[in-house]
Amino acid sequence: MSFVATLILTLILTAVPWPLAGLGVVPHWGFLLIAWWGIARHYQFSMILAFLASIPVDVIYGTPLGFHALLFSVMTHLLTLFGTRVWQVNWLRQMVVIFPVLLVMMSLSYWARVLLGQDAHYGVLFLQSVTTAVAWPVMRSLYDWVYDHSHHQAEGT
Amino acid sequence: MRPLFSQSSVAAVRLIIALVTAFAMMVLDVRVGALNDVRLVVKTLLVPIEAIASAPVGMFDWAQEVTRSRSSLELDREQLQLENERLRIEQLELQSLQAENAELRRLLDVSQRQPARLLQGQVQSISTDPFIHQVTISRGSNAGVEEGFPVLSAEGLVGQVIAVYPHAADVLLISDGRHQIPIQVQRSRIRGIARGIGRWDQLEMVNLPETADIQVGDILETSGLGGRYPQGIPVARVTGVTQLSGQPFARVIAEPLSALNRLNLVMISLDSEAP
Repeated sequence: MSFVATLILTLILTAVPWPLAGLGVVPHWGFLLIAWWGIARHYQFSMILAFLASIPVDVIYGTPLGFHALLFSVMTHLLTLFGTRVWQVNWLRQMVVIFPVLLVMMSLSYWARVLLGQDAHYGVLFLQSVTTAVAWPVMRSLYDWVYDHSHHQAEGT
Repeated sequence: MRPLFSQSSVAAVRLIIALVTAFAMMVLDVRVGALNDVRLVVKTLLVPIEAIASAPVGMFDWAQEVTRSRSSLELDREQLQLENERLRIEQLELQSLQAENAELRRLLDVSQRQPARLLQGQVQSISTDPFIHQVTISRGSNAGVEEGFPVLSAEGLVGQVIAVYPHAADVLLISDGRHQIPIQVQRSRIRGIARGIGRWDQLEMVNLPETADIQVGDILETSGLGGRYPQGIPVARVTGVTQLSGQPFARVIAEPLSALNRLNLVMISLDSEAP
């Protein structure tokens, strides 16, 4: 229930029609969802959930099915290695840890896009990893709120 | 007792299984198109989410519309009346030309061109991926839309339908890096291929000999080759021709005639075969 609620929030943000000229600076909300679950609720999260979350993200972005499954799986794996320790530190340090993970993800994304024949530019992906990391503190609080709200509601019923 | 497999090796095995599955999905989706049904189901489930996501933009447009002043509306009305007059005159000229064309075709014993069947649709959503130029329109298989149908705007070619759902369809825009169109120069009838380069305002003509008769301002239109697009749909205007020293081909850049980044209403041509 909580996962579905946070996923719906992520999908809404992903589907918002941002101005086309600024698409490169819009954070990748899907990565933030995986980061939050991988760090804050790693004991409730699994690669299967990451895989399931990737399918609607692919449909909204128009990427081939499996594209974000590849990225989300790697990110989930990376976060299982050290994500549990990150939750204890403050949001600024969390940003510092998330940023290199996002850079790895964007590099992988760039490589996959080139294989798929897209005209990808690494500069845009780099910029997107910066804005995604910057959006982390806000999204972290938002996901906390959505999780608590949906969790309590589920317990109440 | 020590566990047979450590936790890290289990995680690595899970990752490998996930990666292999993800690769298999991509191949099945891109090469075979075997996951269209999955995409269809997920797309249908996402309809309310996309509606919620685009609601603020819709409300902003609506607020802008209701707060427009009377003088601005009157100005619009005057402009529309003038445009209507101009279009009526152009229509009369067109009717005369059509009759003349039909007569010439009859004399030359050439078969008559059938008028294109067009269906109007509205852009519902735009891919927010910075490298994918794709929109979803409000017409689908229930309205007779099929994969491969050309999509136009009032100015020219927009793209082609790449996935069809009952009430919607995905359109790959001509500016997408995966899109190529057989075109010809309207003035000189030189043929070539125009491809998207991932920019909303630019297309590139590839493999055009440096001696080709093409200049800035020329209009590029579909050539009808390949059977995907009917002949004669305006596509782009040439904005730059560069002769590269030591290269046998010229670099030709063109600007799409349709404002691809501001699409709202589009027309779906129900004839994908060249006449």
